[in-house]
Amino acid sequence: MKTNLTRRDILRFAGGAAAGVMLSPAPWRLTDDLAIWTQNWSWIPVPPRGEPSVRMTACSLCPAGCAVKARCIGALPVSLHAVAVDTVSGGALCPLGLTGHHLPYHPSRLSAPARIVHKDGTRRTLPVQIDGLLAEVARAIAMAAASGQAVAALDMRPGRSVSWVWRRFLASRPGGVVVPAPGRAGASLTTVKAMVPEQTGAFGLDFEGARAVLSFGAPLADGWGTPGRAARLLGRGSGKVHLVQVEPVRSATTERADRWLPARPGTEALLALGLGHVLLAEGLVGAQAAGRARDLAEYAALVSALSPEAAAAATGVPAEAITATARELARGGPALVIAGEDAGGGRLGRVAETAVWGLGLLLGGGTRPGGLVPRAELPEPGQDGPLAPLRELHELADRSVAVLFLDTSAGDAAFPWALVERKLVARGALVVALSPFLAGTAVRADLVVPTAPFLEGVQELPTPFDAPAATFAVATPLLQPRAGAVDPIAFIRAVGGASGAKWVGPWGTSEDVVKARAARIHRGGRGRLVAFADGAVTRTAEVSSPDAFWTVLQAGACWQDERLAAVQEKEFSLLGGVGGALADRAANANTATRADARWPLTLVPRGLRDVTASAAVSPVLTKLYRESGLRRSPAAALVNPETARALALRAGGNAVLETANGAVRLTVATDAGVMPGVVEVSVGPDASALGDREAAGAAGVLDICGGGEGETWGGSAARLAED
Amino acid sequence: MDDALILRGARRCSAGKFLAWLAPWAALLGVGGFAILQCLVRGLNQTNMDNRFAFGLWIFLDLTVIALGAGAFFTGFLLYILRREELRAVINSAVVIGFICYSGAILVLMVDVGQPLRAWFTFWHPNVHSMLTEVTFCITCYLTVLAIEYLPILLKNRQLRKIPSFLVFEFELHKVMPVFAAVGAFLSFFHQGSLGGLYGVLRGRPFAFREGISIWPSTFFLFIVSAVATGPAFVLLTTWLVSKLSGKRLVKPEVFELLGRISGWLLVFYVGLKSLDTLVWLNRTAPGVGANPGQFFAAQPFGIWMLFVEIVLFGAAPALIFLSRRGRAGTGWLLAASFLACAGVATNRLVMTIQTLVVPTLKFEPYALYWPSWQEVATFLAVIAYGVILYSLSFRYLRLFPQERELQRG
Amino acid sequence: MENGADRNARYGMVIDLDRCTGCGACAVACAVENNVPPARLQATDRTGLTWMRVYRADNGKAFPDNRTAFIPISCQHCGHHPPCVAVCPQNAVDVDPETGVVSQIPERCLGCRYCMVACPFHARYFNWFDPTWPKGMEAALNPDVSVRMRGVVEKCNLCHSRWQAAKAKAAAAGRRVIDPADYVPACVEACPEKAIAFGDLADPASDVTGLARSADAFRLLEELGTEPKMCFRSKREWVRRLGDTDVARPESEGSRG
Repeated sequence: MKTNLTRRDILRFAGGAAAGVMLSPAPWRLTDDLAIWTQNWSWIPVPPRGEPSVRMTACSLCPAGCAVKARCIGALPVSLHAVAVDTVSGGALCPLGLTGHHLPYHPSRLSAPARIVHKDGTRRTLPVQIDGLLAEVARAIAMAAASGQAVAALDMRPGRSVSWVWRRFLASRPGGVVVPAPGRAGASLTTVKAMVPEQTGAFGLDFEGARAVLSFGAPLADGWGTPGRAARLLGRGSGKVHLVQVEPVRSATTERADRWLPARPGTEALLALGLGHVLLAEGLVGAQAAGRARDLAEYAALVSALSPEAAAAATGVPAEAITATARELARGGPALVIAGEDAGGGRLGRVAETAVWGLGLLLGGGTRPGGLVPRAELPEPGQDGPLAPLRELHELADRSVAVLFLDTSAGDAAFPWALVERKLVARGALVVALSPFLAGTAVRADLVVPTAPFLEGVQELPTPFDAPAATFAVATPLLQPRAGAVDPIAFIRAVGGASGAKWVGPWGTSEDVVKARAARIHRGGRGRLVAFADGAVTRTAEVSSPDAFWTVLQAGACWQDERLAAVQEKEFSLLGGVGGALADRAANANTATRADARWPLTLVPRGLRDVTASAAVSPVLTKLYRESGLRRSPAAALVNPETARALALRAGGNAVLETANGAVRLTVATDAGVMPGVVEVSVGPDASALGDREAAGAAGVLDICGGGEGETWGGSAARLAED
Repeated sequence: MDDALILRGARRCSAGKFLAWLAPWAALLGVGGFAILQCLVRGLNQTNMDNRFAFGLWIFLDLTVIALGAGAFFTGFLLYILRREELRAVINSAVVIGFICYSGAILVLMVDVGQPLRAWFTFWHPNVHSMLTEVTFCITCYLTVLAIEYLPILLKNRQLRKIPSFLVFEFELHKVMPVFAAVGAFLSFFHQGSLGGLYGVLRGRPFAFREGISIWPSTFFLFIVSAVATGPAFVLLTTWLVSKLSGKRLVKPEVFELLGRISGWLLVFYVGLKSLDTLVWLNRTAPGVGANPGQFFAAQPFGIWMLFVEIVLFGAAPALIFLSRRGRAGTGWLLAASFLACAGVATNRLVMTIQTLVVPTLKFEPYALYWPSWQEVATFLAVIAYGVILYSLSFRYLRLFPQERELQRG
Repeated sequence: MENGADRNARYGMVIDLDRCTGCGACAVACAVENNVPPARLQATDRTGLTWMRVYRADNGKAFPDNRTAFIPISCQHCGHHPPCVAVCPQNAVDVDPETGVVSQIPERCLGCRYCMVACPFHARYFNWFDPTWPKGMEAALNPDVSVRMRGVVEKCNLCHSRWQAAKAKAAAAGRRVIDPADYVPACVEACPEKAIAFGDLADPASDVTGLARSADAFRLLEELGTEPKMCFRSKREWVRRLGDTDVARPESEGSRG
């Protein structure tokens, strides 16, 4: 027997082992794994690790305040989902909400206060210390007081507790005034409020009770109210509401509408009066409505000349459509007529809004189910005291504001900056913005204070403008706040302190003041809490303490008030104080169509709320813009192919769009859904969603819009020529 | 200076002049190399290819050079299997050109794929149903065959043949060359066909889809025939070009005449087959899936005129020239016909690669066009430069044309 | 429902084009769920990554009779000889027999893009760029889905990771069949109009089976015979014609480059 191992034995063993290994899966698996290893380069992003959990909050990126379920990994939110509970929004999120968790990491996020130097159309950002900033603001306020100039706050998200604190703070400043964002969704409701002066509280819109809706420019399917509510409204089976949409360009709403009335921009008042004419002529006005209308005779006289044919000639809407619409509205059950705002184009203007709301009042006789419904207001956070007045921007005198605060801490809005600029004093005006991002309106400011973005700071969701009853929710933060973020209440307090004023209340932060409001709601004892997690309903009266109430809200819930009885009691005015203007329009109806040879086109800027309500949007929104062309780029001027031919413009070619306010360079695109004679331009998201070529042009169109009645900018006279 | 390397008895220009000839090609190679590096380092966003044009200039280049490089295998087939001894005069040149074409194609393919490091996956996880798997296998094998066929030419260099073991090796290799020629022909036959099959099997693209025999669509056969038809023409063209550039007579006129005749008959066959295929495609296959043939030619410059140019001007015309005695008699005519034939195969590959992607498949998407970026063009030119340099070196130091010395003396 | 345990599912969708408003929530939700990166500054609509992409189509008429439809398109998960499966040289396309889902295996993809040429629905997208998110945003990525790299093809896989999560949940509860409510792809979940119906086409009790058979239902490019499992519905005839293979129309488009 051989007892010693030779080299040959070892070699034989090694050879056999090698052959054996080759027959095993090992080398093949190792080779396969090479494929995975080549995947793991260091520059490939790695998703987070951690325990999965679910947390509830609300989306505060626009006033709709949809409930949100956040899927978190290791306490960091990785996706946001809609929650199908009975809130006004119910079961839907828009692209902005679906990507809200990206915003805290947005590249334009501010981490320290900054000074912006505007020079020759360029912008430079310089760092500034918060103390120096406060001192500068205090000095400016003092100088304003000394020279009798105003201190104003432009509130992009009015109705919050913070909004109320602005009013309390500025009440102590001479000339202090708070201005809600121009063109915000629901702004036109102030017009109808003025037409029913004896009605206290606010108006909501009872879409659910309506059988027919006539919308003048309210983009219902494009995120005007809340996405889920509109979807339910337009999608209800046999009980689906009959929608008539008035708009000059085709949109998702006109596609879903049962009838589209393409009225020329600026002729909405004439269309509304024309519909009123048919109602009166065919005796379709109910006795109740007739009884409560104070100025029915005047109204009748005004609309007498606006036969369907005359209205058709003036507006471009066929006479049969006008007649048919009026009949449908009168006979089909409760009809709700609304004057809308476009997220990029703003309001129709007080005159047109009066005609539109007037038509609705004529059909319904005031507040009633399926129409305008009265709504209690939310209590304010603190005791009553002096409040700075609320004024619309166009109501301020030109060159009167020396210090302007832009509160974009809870959201932004799209409007021509020129409208604000003319209210600022010619020299020495100071504009201070509170914003999480160096984007949107905040870039117009001289000083910017960084605030916490969505998911990092407590935000409040007061009643959305269209809700039929008051609601209240809190957007609970899911992320730790970053160093450098300044709380808006702390800022206001510090500014007050620096300018030697006594602080208006016990609150130090936003959370304090929102909590105080919640406590007052709880004390009112009305309504109920609906929890997002499971839809559990708790009556307010059954919640033992304000702290318990706050805990439920923080865990993700919405407080809903009881509906007020929509009793048709109050008298109303059909002409709302602008009878003279309406009469002028009616009288000049036949000249409304004559276009100015110098400015043959009407520029209609259009926006979508999910990109104008926030200064910054997730970069993932490129999926809708650059990567698919689904949404129009802000660098494109859309015209009807006929218009393009008439102006010798080539699709894809460069052109200059000019108005009396300036010019911008755009690319021509043709779209048969745009009315001939109209040029539609998108008001887009911030530049991160756009390509480099387009980003340069993105700021464009609103800069040249304006000059409409009551500072509207939805239809400017323009011309388009090849570049 | 490098006389020791040059073939005994052959006249070549001075080393300085040769370097001056190589310099611009080397520069082009350098620029192309830089473009390739850009693509490898920064990614394929350096090209103008996109999701609509997933295949672009490079795939067109690959298909065309492989079709033109078919002269290599077909000449070998004709010489070693069918015993047409006249072609011995050009076989070496054809092999070198074939080697250049195939190695160039593989180089470009390595840049064209998104993950060149994973090139071995096709061998590791092959999909037996995919034409591209077949192409990959066969091209790789065939390049190996070409390298083996190139080797004896290389070994016959004046200095290398002084090494006895090389001489013996070369001699032995030469004995089995018919085997390699047969293997090469077999492989080539299949991958030329599979390249056609790449497009013919695309059920999702009515413009490219063809019916055929069993698993092979008609484009499988059309590509083979067009490749073998134009292979000899390309050999003719390149031989004439080299002859012109070097100022020497390299082959006897009978060789050109033979190449022309072979090309002519095959072109006739091809034009007949192609016309039949086109008629079937436009009248049966495409309408059979609901496609409207008019939609295929709606976007200029890919109008119906291109179809006629491809078949008539670049197909029937050179065939007729090749087949007429007068045509074959004049070098000018032969050259024109060869050029037209090669242009025809290039046009056919262009149409299959690019026009397939120009035509939309969905009613609501636009027709689209594509222009290559400078990186793509530079890479294309780098391949040409590589070919010129390698061929120039081979011509200078190796016996590519056996008849050269004889013609020089005579 | 134990009798479903041994039957293979065929997951598909029926998308109601009369309800789609083109809001894009589906495209965005898909990108969030599947870690699809935002576009680089130089990217265009032909070099983007949109697993779910919403197209616009119109009826070709002049104002005011012009009408638009929005068509959300993702991988159609062809049921009969998917064009992309046969052509991939590396077998990087996997058809799961249990669900009928056609998945891409990015780790095996060579990036040859042959499958992209083969797909008539343009449902496949190539990573022309390295995926990058703004600094810090990786903390918001979904750990259930691997992040791809440059040079590979990717596409919709009917949120296969959600199906696997549903299976795990069912297994934890001792069941072999998943609860349909647990497996909802991101796009279906996100649609505000609830225009996308999703379910098992092989299950006669499922909503989608009935919807797919309705008179208004159609599929894209049905004549090609790939049997896509994504169906569409519309009461409008011109919208139903959008699925035709005949794409003839008058104009031609500009080029890129």
